[in-house]
Amino acid sequence: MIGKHFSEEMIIGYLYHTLTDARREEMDVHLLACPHCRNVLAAHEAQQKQIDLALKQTIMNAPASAPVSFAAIAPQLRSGVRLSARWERLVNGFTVATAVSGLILALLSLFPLVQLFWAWDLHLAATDPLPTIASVCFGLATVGQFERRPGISFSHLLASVLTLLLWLGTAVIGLQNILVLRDLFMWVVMVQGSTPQAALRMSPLAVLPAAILWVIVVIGGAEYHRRRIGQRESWRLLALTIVIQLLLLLLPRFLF
Amino acid sequence: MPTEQTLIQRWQAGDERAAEALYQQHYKRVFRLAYGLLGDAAEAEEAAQDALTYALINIGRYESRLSQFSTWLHTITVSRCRDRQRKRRLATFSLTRWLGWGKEPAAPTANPEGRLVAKETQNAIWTAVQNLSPPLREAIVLRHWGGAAGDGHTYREIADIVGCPIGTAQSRVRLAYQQLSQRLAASELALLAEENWS
Ligand SMILES: [Zn+2]
Repeated sequence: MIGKHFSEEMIIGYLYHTLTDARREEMDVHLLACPHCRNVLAAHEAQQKQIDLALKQTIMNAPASAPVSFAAIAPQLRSGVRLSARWERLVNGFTVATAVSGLILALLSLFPLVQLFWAWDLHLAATDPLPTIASVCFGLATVGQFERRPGISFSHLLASVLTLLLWLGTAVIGLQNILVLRDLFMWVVMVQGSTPQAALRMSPLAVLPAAILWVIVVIGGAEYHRRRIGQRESWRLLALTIVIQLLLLLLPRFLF
Repeated sequence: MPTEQTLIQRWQAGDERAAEALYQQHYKRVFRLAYGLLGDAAEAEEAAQDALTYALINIGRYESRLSQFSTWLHTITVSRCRDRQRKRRLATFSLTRWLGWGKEPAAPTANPEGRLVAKETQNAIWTAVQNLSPPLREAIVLRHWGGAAGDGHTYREIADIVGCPIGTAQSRVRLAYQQLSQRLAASELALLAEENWS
């Protein structure tokens, strides 16, 4: 007798091959020495066998009538194929166009910021609507990816293009977010009674960590998406990024 | 005889005879999966026809690189069956059903007397399976039936078909088995009691 008996849940896991290799080996060793667990396993094995047989037999003996003849669905197929191809082109075109427009708007919104970085104007990042509109565009392009019908995915090429566009776009918006964070930081410092010049001198305290985070997220994100192009997890991460970025962009509007 | 892959390519190129061949080849399996999930032959036939029509219409979007054709078909079938169950729940919602007093699903066609006990167990199991919650039923049916070698699907395939992580697929199968096992123990006790009374 070695140690404690295994729980019923573990034994079921063993039966259904859902244990890790280590757990499985551990259990193999225990089973050799323990008649009690062997009995429990045997009982479950018998029951699993019964369920397996019953399911297979019932399903195989399903009282089927002859299938509807192919001729009956052929016209539906013909029109369906035409319609679905046209609809798909439309949706794909719209999605990519939205993402491209978002990226262009995001890039355009960077120009005033280049000057702004050296000067002090609290309100510019908060009042420029371009990054917000760009962010909303990215959101639109992403949302559609969750409501795809089952088994229907973007082609790999299209998914790669869209992922690349959204990744670039979110990276650019991320720069805007750094500026917003800097503004928020300076705002807090000034509320404490500092002059704008002093606040500007202290701003690297906020900009540096934000910039490091940006680099990590951009590189890490690229790696993450590259492995999961077109998969749900990838769209989910993009959607999450976009929502956070949009909230950050909107935050100053409520504060200032 | 052309392989499935050639048939798919030919239908993707617009050859209707290839579509017909695919339809004939896959109808039965799709119907059976739908029957396993819905427990009703007439509904399963409609679901199978829906799923196949949908799959054939959208054949342009099927990528053999990502999954086997049958796995893809099963994904669509499971989703069609879910739609049906949702509609059925809306249409026939009643308090008795909600409280679990609903009528049991129809037992499949009876066998000759000789295998009465086995038949009874089989019916008990089938009823218990049909009374599982839809996600658990999907998991256990797919685990025991519909895979490539005449056996069940792998956890990876189940996860792809029902659209959940592998770990979730595994715990659903375990949970479904546990519930079945409990219900069967209860129904066996009831059977024993009945035999003692009569
Ligand atoms: Zn033991």
